[in-house]
Amino acid sequence: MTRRRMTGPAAGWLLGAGLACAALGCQVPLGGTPGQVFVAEAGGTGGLAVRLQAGRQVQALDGVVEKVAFSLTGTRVPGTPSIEVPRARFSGGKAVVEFGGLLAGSVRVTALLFDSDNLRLGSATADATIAPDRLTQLALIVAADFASASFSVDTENLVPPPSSLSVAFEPISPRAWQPAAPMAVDRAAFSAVPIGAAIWAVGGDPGDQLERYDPASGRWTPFQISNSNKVRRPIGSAAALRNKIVVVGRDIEVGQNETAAPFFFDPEGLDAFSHLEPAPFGVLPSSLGDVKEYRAAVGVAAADDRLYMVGGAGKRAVGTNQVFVNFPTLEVLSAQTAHWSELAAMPTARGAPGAVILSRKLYVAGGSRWTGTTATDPVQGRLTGVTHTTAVLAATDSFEVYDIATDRWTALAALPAARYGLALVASGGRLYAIGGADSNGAATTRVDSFDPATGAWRAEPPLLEPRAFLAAAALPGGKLLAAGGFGADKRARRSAEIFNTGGAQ
Amino acid sequence: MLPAAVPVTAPSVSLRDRAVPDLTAVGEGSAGGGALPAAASGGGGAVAGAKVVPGQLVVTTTGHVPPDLAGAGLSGASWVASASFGAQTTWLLEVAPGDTARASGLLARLPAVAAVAPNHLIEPMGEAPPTNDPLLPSQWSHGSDVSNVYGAWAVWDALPAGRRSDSTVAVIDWFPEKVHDDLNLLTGYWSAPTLTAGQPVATLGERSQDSDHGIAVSGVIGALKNNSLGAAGVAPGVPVLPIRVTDSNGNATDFNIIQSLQICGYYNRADSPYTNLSNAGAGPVRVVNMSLGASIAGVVATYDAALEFLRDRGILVLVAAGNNQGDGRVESPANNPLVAAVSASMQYQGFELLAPYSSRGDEIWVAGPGNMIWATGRGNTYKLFNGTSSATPFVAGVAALVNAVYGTGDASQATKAWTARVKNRLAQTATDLGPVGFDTGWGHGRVHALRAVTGNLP
Repeated sequence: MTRRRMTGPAAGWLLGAGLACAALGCQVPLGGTPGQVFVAEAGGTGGLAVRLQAGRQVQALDGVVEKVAFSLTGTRVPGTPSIEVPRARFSGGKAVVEFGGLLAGSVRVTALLFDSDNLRLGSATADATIAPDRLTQLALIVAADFASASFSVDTENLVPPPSSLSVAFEPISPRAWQPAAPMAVDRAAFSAVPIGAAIWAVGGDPGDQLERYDPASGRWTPFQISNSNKVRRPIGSAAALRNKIVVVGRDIEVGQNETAAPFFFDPEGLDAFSHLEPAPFGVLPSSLGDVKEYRAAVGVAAADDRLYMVGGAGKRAVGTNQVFVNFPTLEVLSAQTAHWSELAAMPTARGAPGAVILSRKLYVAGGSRWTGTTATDPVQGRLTGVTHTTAVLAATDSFEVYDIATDRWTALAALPAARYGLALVASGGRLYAIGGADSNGAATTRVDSFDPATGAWRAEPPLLEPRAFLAAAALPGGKLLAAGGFGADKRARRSAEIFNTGGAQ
Repeated sequence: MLPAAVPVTAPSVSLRDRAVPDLTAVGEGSAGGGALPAAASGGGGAVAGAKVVPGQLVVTTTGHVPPDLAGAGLSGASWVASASFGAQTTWLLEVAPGDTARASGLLARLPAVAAVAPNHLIEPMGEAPPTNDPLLPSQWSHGSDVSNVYGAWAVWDALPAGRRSDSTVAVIDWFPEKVHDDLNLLTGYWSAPTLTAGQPVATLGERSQDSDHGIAVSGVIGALKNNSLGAAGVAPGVPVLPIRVTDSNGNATDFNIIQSLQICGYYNRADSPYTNLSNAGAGPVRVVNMSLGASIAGVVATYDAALEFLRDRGILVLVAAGNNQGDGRVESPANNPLVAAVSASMQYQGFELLAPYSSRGDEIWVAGPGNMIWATGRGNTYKLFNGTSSATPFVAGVAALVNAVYGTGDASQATKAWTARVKNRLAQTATDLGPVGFDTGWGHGRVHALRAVTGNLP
């Protein structure tokens, strides 16, 4: 058995140092010298599949380690989710996982050890180069040296024991966003709607599909939308009402009622690629219903049998008198009456805000404002906007809250950075303002969180890539999902990422 | 972004060396956009008007000694940087945010202070519309961040007048009347009456009951610019040949279109069998615009003879893909491989999306801006025009520019090869939006007017 050293010591076993474990108050048996074997071998078509073999005898697994997660990063490595190997999948101290579609180049292999509470116990990393001429078997052996808290990497040829594991997306490393499984299609200006345990990606003009994200498996499943030109390829904002997906704010600035009409999907009992028909909802007509204002880029949030539609943008014209309008309007759709009602107007009119409900309060953060010479909406006359020839779109940092109980608005501490097309998500009692675009239309990686108890914002780890008009949702276990959106190149994305907030702070 | 405050306490500091990088840092911050987000107006949201760096003032003094801050009641403030100009010096002062107004007042009273002002954020100049057409500022499609029609106009304007008038664009459409003051409309024709060799073709009637759809299409292609009227087309003033496609009952049919195509093929050509298809003020038809169609499964092969005839004469036929009617497929005749099918993009909060209504399919060649497009209307009016109907004339305008810039006017511009070159030019210079490469929504991308007329034509 020949071994060739590839790189020197890279990083230590935190576990070996004993510090992480001491801090966590756990007991880890450190007897013996556990090792990790990483095997890389040729893939079937073009790329290189990397098999990571954990073990020989990983005695740490006999203790508190519940799972090991492997991830691979590198300049030519696609956004690869970590591969989790639960303890039960180890056989004789060994398990095999597989990364596919890799190209020759530098890679960094990271192994993370977690306990049953998903707390990270330790990690090991190894750098390796996958050479173009090494498209046969390649083995990386990571031998942990607990005494010096380091490890070394050697290579050897190994017979691969090929039993691939399914890809999972947990655990999430604390305090950093991690790649998640991408959606099937590029989406921007769409919504992530939680229903039950799943998250539905709705709209964004991707074609005729919705997609359902299952947090347990980390997978997206596409569903075909009914082939109806009334609901095809929607751009709009959506939320869940009585477990139905409600898409509203569909005006695309042409001022046609039919393009602005809300519609409904009932996702219950669907299999993949079932046709999803728009469903009537109560007695609400399939037309605009009694929505007061048709508009684009609204904020939407739902709670307690009610769906709130707030703000928005529109372009109204009579002849050549065209006015770009920012909407302060707040309307609510009641599932009980199937009618819209207008509530107290938001103090700061805006389009494309982040909106979320937490504890019977509707929070509205950021958004876009047309700035320019003030003019009155020539169509309905009750709102002001700016003349189209002077209009410039600007991001706002305004942050306001609507108290559902009292029908009153209150200004809160401004967003740390003005932006629009952001997502606002509640998790663990905090609000997370994710992504967005600045006044120049540049997408940002910025994430801030707000504590309603203290009224203060704080910066959070940034997204892995800039996203504007993304969709985001809270997942179980204090995690956040951020998907799609426009990137720095203003193209829609299909990629997604996950952040572990660590729960309530 | 700003360097930490460095108190300046003595006039012996190297003023120029220190001032330049500090002031540059401020300028870069503003030009970079968003580097100083805290400077945005708070509370009530961003509003129009000047933005300033919080807690900073720019102060000009006589001489090179900074005024005593403590003595002026500004003990918390500090001089950060300076630049000397002969007998005067201009300083950057930092004070507590929110204290700038009070500090300005105190400083202004000092005898040595010649001027005090907030440190304004400077931004790149917005793109000034190059002409006086009043609707031009909201023609979103024309700016350099979209198709850059403004840039293409510099090329267009530099052409000899004969090249511009040579690129005749035929519009096969609905026409209620034959004139609009903001258009270079040629004498039009009516396709429905029987065409007879050796006879004239019926000209466009004075009035019909048609919609003004064709007027709108014509304006997107070639509305005049810099005439203080309305909007400006992609190829301002290009000759537009209106061809009424409806019969006397207001119906348009495949055969009406086929006869219209024949008129296009013979217009200003020596072999025309008709006696009145000529106009010395314009060239042969180089581009045909058809913002029309029907949802039909499959290609209607009876168009092929007419379309091949035009293709072999160097005429590119652009057809609207459709607005998502029926099953959303690309409609007929846009689905005919002998034409170029056009989809529509829209502006959405500073981003560009494919319009949700735009029909999709493998037949899409390119996209054009097609939502909230200013166009000419009935009775010398202007209106907003939406749909692939408005995207197609935008692309036709770009095709007219390509013909004018690269065409020779001789037989080489009347060949099948020329048609392919123009068609390929639209695709190869388009902005690839949506999924990378060809896709069934954007085709090869949204056309880019300036790139289409820049460099050599392959």
